[in-house]
Amino acid sequence: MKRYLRYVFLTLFAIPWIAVPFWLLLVNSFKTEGESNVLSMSLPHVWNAASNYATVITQGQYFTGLRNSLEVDVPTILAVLLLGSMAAWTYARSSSRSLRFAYYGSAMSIVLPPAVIPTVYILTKMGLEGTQVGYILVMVGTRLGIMVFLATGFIRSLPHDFEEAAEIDGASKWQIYTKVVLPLLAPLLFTAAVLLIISVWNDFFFALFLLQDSGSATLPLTLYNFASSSLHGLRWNLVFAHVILTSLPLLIAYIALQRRVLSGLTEGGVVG
Amino acid sequence: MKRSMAAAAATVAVGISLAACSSSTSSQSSASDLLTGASPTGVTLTMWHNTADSQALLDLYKAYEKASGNKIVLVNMPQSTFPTAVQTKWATGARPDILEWHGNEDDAESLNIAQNAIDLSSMAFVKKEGTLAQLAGNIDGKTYAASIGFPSVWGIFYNKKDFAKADLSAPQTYADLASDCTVLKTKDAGVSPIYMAGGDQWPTAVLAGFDYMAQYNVGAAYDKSITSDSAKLTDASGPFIAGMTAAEALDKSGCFNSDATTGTWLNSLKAVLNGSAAMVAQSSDSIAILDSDASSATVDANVGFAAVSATKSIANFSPTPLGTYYVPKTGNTTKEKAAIGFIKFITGAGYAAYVKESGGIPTLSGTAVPPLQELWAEVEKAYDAGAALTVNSQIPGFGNFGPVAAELFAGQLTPAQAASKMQAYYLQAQTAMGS
Amino acid sequence: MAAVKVAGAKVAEAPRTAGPSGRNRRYRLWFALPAIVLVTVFFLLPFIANGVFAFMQWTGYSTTIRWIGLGNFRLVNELGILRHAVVVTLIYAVTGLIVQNVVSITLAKALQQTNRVNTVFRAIFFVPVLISPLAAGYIWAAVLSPTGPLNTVLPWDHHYAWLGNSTTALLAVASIDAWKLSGLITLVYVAGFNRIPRSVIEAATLDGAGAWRRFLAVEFPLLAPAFTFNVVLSLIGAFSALDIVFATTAGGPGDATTLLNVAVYNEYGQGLFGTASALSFVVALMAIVTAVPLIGWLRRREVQL
Repeated sequence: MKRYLRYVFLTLFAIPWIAVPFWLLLVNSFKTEGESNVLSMSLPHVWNAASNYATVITQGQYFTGLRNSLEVDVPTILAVLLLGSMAAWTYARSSSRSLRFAYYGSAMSIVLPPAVIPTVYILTKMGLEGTQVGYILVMVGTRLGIMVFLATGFIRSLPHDFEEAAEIDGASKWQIYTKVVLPLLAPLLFTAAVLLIISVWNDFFFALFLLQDSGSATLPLTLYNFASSSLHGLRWNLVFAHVILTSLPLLIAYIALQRRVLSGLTEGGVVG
Repeated sequence: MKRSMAAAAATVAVGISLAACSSSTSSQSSASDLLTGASPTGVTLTMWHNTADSQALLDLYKAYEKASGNKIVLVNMPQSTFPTAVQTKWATGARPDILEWHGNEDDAESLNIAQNAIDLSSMAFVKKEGTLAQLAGNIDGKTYAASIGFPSVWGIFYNKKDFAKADLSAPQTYADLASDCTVLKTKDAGVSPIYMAGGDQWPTAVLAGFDYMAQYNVGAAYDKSITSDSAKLTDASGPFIAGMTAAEALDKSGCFNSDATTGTWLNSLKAVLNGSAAMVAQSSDSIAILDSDASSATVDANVGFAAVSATKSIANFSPTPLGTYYVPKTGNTTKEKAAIGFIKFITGAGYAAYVKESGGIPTLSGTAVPPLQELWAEVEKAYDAGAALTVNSQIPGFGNFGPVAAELFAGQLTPAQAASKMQAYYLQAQTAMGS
Repeated sequence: MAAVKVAGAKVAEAPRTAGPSGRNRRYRLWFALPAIVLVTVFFLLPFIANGVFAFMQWTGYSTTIRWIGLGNFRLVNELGILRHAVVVTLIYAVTGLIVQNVVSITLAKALQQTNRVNTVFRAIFFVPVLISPLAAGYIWAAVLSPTGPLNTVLPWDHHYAWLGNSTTALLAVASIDAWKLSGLITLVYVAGFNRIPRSVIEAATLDGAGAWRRFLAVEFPLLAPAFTFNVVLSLIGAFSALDIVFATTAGGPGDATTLLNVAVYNEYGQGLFGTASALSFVVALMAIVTAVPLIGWLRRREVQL
């Protein structure tokens, strides 16, 4: 009985929390501009889905945005995972004072809100403004903190034996890292990757400053451009269609990997 | 080891910041080299443009691309947050090859145009622009901008049908606004007397300041009194505070639309066109938008323009941001030359076609005025009848009055407090420029 | 030595041997170098630049940048921008905190067991975490609009502009932020709940404590680390919040939702870059003051466990 009450409660709660917003999103993306302006939950009278989505794909630069997002986000995430875990291993296994200082500095970077404009200013002076490389560097630099923090704590809790055994066997530091540490780190890497993907894929502000000028606009940027540049005001049907298309890649990835994502987060050592 | 790294980092940071001071004096070819000679082709130029650009302007850009063999990459600066969007990007050191920006002296100074853009004074269009060249993008007698869009003439757009139904004639003073509002409220409850677009960052400035101050700024009289310190924005009996008080009174007596704090410029135009709002304080830049929502015949039948100021029927004008172009110094001579070529095209070969398509009043002499729709004719009449320069044109730091006016209407600032805030911005800008 | 149970890793008890020798240290440093360089250039440097510019007169009006000491801070204070932004940010943080934790802890308790139905629910509630803050802003701007679903459902005043009133706009924007993260925080709390040893719960039940009492006296205190983590996360989130405000109110109506980071952006928009840097510097200081105790506290807990 208690179990059924619980499920009823959960369902009732999910209605305003999840169902209403996403139903509104979906159903209005199928309507004409006039109908969607009313923003009601009813089904469309005129089925305009094909036209809406087609407009979004062409005028909204959807595939350009998708390609650009992949081009910058994949290297960023790989770089953060790799460089972050490398640094974390060093911090976790070393007792040098200067390295501890570096670790705290890294951790501090999680806490500080990124100073967008000075960052872009520095990039401009370096001649990297508007380039994808510049954007990747900034993204990596601002995301390393969290990776290092999580991974250091994790590695600290691992026993030294495996690494020491490998060292005695004559393995180089790099081999120890790739053959011993990384495999042990795998669950954390997966969890961190999930968090990173969500954060990096949806980044908007740095993209606004760094990628607007070139044809390198990422998905959030194409959404924003599309929503804010019409001479006819906010056309909800088109904006919603764009939102759905923008969220689709992550949603698909999520559905595919859902079980592992959730179990990694619930059982993983995210918070000690 | 970390300490020395930190020290090195700090040194680099300070070094970069100091380098910024002298960045503008990096070598560039002299202006005359750039302005003469053939324009290069095959160049890609970035242009920061206002998303409210009319189709006529967008077609003009395409026409340039075709004629010159160059490509223009348009970077959208959303119209609702236009000044903020441009300033924040400018702060990062980014520079476009062509900048579409306000022509007001104050706005030009806020980007330090004199140091950052190329002097276009010796180009052919300057003579053709006549007196406008003294106002648009003009600092210390030098012209830095080409302005092909007719200046924004600010006043009140009113719905003719609503006014006819309520037996009212076009308003002329703020007292008229108040009395018309009272009549409209009793005669037709479904109509908002005044549509206030508080959701966008700039329309609030029109009712709260621009229109009221018009009669005080004939010949830039008020602006001069402020910059010469013979008057202050915060004068309790001054027109600036009086204007905000009058606008606030309109708000408090329920003349605004119910969603005034989230209303947008584009919706305000839809409203005055279909009659759900009787009046909108706006500029002639809105005409192109109205025409894109309905035929010009329909627009003329429904919407009229009135010059309204404190106690006199005087309009105010400022060089429009839609069609005013600067050429920032980027250090890339090829691109600068191509950008100059753009300026030549839009004021020369491509100009006639643009005027014809836009249906507006030309700014360059020697071009026939196309047959104007009635609304444009009304605007022209108000402009020729002695419109004053908009109050924010020549007071440094005054450019971004919109957000402060929005706070006024949201009840977060009193007129006196709003005036203090603007006075503080003015002093900041003045101090910065003086150094 | 930490005995944290981690999915997939085996924790073996083994004697600790001596630390690395001097020769090894050099190699290890190389491992950390890329990360150190990147964080320094793309985080530390902007932070220092902010700190330097905060004391300079730097505007769009002039290319001269000169020292003016506390002038920017005084201006920001005089204009009331700083004080107002701090108040708004705190209200935002507290509102978000309350909404997020009430919802997440409740959901976590309901979804504590890992069975098939619960997994489906957990997945459903996780969806908002995936969409971008910008998208979330647009969606909720629609839900809260004068003609949107919220107004349709309410029995009174049918066209209330939720985002148009200063108070409701701020509460709404904070709640959207909380809505977006709740799915994730729920999972963190689920992990937290499941980590509480059964023995402790059983002991409490044997002592005659009801479910509510058990929660207050036993479970909640043991959730403390997750809770503190959450509190600081909310505060830091409020300091950096920008995307959602951008997509919904742009800081309005007036300055009702002008959070600290939004105020910084607006100040840049006025052409007053030095003042903006000063504001940004204050934000950074506030963030450090808030987070340093936490990092220290978390580190101590690591040892305790």
